[in-house]
Amino acid sequence: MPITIAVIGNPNVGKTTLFNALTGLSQVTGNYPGVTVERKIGTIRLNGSTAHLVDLPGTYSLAARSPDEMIVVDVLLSQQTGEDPVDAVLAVVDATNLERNLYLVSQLKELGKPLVVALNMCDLADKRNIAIDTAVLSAELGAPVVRICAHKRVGIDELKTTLTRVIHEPIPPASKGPEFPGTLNSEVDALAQLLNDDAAGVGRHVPRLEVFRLLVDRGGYVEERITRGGNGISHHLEDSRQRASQNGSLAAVEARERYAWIRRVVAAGVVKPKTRATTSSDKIDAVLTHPIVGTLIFGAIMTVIFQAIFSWAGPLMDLIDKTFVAAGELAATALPEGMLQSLVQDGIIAGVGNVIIFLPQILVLMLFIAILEDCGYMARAAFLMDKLLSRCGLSGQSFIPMLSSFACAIPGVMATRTIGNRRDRITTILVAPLMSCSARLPVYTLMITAFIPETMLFGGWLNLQGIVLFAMYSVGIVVAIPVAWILKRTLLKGETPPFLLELPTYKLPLWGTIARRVYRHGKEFVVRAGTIIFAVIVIVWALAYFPHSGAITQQFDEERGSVGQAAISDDARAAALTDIDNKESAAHLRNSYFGRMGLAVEPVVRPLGWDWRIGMAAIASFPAREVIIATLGTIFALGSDVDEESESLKSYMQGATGNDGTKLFNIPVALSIMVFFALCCQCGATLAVIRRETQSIRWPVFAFSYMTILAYIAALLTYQAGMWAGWGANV
Amino acid sequence: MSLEAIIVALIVGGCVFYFVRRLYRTFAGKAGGSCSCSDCPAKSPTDNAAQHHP
Repeated sequence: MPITIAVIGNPNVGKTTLFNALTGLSQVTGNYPGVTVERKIGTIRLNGSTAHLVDLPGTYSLAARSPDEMIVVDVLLSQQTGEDPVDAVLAVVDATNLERNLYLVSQLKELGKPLVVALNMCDLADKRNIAIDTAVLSAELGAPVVRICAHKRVGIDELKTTLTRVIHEPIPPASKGPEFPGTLNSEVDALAQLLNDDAAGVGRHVPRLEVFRLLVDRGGYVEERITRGGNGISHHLEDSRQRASQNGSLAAVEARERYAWIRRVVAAGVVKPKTRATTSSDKIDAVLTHPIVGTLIFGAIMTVIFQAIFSWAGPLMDLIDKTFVAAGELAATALPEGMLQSLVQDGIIAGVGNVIIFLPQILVLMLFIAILEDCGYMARAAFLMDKLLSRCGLSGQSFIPMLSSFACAIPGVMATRTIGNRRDRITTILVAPLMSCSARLPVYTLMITAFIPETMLFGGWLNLQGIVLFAMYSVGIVVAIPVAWILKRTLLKGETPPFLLELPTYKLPLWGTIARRVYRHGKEFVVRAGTIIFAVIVIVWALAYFPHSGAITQQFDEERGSVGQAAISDDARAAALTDIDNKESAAHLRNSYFGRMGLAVEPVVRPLGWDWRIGMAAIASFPAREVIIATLGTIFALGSDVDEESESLKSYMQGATGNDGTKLFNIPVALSIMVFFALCCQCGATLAVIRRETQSIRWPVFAFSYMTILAYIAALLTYQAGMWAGWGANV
Repeated sequence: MSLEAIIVALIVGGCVFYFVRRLYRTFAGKAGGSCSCSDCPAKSPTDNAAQHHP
């Protein structure tokens, strides 16, 4: 059976980068804490044999206070049902900050498993004149220490060799770890005996390290788990704590002894400059984390990103657009007129094609997000947001999950595992889907390019379209703040937690990492278009095509006959026949199953300025947001009531008219659609993940309900305000 | 029933089946459900741990 090695370390010390370097995998990495919130497994070859490598979420200590930290403890203690026990531990430490990193190592020593310490970021340590004697450090720690630089792939082979050696020839610890008072040790032993006793125990073997954590971590996850179900352990536990805490609080005793040991180890093996030099990161931070200047720079960076989304992606979008138009024309000529031609041309090509067009914009957005994350800027953005979020009862800790949600709400919801306080975690989970994910981008850009004028402002520096896009992305965070404020004062009352965030060192982005992230997001978008969006649009097409009444066809055939016999010019006849074709298409669409459902829905969406077609497109997009574009593409292709020469969806929408002959879309309608999509939870996958993460059906139902109501009210207000301002005729 | 109708029925039927299956698997938390996102927990082989620690 392959051996299992756990990769563990403080947050943002490069565990996942090392994991990728060892396994050849490409798990997501980022230059900010909390990127990994679940363990990931890869395989490596060690001297001809296979080993499983488990990448664990970052943690400062084994005193679990949040779900992601508990994962670490469970895996290390082999408490995870159905998982192979851990045979060895690879601790990744930041060479520039050994004092803090060795705290976790001191706890790992107590596991009694083969341990290797990978000294990462040695290049930075060298730059700061921190001299580390690995041989001395190794002797002091009682475990081999290997210098590495994971992102440059330096020291990886030596690390593999050391891992092989340690696994096959375990070295007995040459040095002792921290020494705790005798009373504490004896209470741990007594409690371990009690817990592992058949009669009074918890029904499983409880390792000594877990008992230690149970005793020391008052209110921690271990205590919650062991005392759950009222098994009488709580009483014994309190007695033990009373007896053991003669030398002060147990947590303080632990910290004191561990840091005393760390000081001894560092004094022996590390030589540092007497004074800490001001680094370039410090100088940059003085500007970027400044409350006013930093916030202005943050706003400027975001503005540049949204301007670039329009200007950079345009040429490639035109190319894709032309390709799909050509494909539609090819389908029209290659297939005989009938339902199959309609399915391919009006359903698949008009539907899926109109979604794929937005791929370049997704790639540009992801490129910027990946660069900002990889260089370390995102942690500064979280720092800037802390003050704002703390006013609504959340801390900057909630900003990281919210930030992840700008790409996709699913990893964002999962990233809340780093939040220890359950109420804060649920509040963050409930507001994270308000952030504009990449699926909303196509909806925004379609509406913006079709209905927002391409006016240049501020002397030609800023495009109005880019500003509107920025505003739409801001809607989510602006609304999230009062929502969180209300939740924290009603359903999820609690104190605002203090926020401790380690600002990572700035570094040049690794282009390979960025390229992989951009490619991954692009692939996901195309896969979604080819799977779920394809399936939904074919169903929408079927509902919008059938029953395709013979009576309607016959009625318009008779009209065509009358026009054919009328004494009018050829041009007038051609125009009349086109008009009849359009009316027939519109009549079939209104008579379709989709049209009938839409007409029933229309009274509900009318106050938002929408007709039944927009209403049904919004409803069809509940499984996935991009479906609205595909649905509008299909609806306008099937019921083409506009000029035949208008071949793109944008042109169809600009020319579309309502029953009364007035334009269907105007600026208030476009804004109301965008606001609705910005705030509505139209993502089945996100709701499923919320259910999984909260272990309750109540929270996804609540999230869906409050977001839908909020979206409807906001869209209503937007439309009515736009009409009141006189933007309705301004297309 | 014409060949054209059979082809259309097969495509539409296949899409209905795929959509319903996917929806079911999403809410049942099974692999292959949920979105196509590579970070999707339903696709990870090692995602169970957090379920035990809500």
